[in-house]
Amino acid sequence: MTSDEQNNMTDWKARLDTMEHTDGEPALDKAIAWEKTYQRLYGIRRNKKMIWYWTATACVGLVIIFLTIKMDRKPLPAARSVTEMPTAAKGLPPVSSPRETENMFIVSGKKKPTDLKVRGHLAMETPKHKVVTRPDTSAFTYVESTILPPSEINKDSSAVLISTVNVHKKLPVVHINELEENENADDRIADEIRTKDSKIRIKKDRKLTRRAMAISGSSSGHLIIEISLNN
Amino acid sequence: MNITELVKEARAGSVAAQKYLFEAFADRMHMLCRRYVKNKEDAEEILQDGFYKFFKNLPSFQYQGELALQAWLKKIMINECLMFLRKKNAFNMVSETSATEVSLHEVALNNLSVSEIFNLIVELPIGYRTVFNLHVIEGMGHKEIANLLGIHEGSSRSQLSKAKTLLQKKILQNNNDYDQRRTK
Repeated sequence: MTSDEQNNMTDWKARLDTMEHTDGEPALDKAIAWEKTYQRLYGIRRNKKMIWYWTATACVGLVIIFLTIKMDRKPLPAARSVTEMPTAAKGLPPVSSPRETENMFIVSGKKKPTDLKVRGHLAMETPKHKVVTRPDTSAFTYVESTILPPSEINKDSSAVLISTVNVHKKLPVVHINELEENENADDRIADEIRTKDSKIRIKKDRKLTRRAMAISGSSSGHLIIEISLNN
Repeated sequence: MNITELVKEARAGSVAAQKYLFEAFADRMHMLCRRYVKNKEDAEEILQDGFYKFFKNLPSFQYQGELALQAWLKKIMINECLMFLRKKNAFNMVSETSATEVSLHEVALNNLSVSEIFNLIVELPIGYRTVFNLHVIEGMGHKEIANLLGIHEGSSRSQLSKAKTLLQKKILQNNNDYDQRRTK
């Protein structure tokens, strides 16, 4: 190899070695490259695996939230759980219960004419029910409690009457026909008064007669206003 | 501030000095990486990895001048490039014992611009390109190349021979184009 050839070779090699950019291509963004190198040097750069891990966790969380919201919107089945009754109540006919059974207490199950009077509110301890929950119900469990008839309540539970009887006095309602009977009775009393006190001269004054008739009260305690049309 | 002082401060942990050193060598090292790895983004990634190792090992480096520092940095970068290529299984070369000696047309190469030479090298197939870079530009022997790439020495020779033949064709083609442009 001649010295010229060696010079030529070192020339293009040296040029290639000291080359800093190519024609027609954007140069390296040193600021960004340094930033990345610096972050890596001083441990600011996050591990890529950790980023993927947290992204995946966030996605799973979002899916769970979405599914929960979607399940909430679905119409709920009528009964999700079955309540096992105590042995004494098992023989009873099934009682149709309303949808909202929560905190509800009904004395009579059947609609029959009965002498029972609701005298007040009863606070009672119902027997503990064994609740069997279906495994697929995750969010909500509805406990459908069966309503006991009064006889069962007396047997099994310790019902305590806490409120007193609260009966309001009311004026009896009188029919108009009854009023006519009372009217005749009043007339009779008035006649008696007249005969007994015959000595007393009853003025046939229009005003007095009207007042006497108006004031005369009935024996039954009803106030009767009688208007005479004597002229 | 010269390189010696920058190295001293960078060793002491000065971020500013490290940044200056990075900016001083980044472009050259980036082009070196691009000669081995064609893709620009991959080359940038390798550059960052290389500088990371450079700054991490700088306190243990015995500074003997700017040229030694550059040679060390180049070596780090080349190793990073080779590691990257090895991960990609780029060196699946068939072992060949016979390889004809081909000489490059040096004068023709000197007629080309540095960008043209760069583009000619980059367009070579990956195996040819790596061996060519290591042997012709870095000046390594075939034994060393074979050890670095995990290939036979004969493979390295044949790869180099083929690389030179292909490059020669391209250089001549480029030169013809160059002559035609000149005559017009």
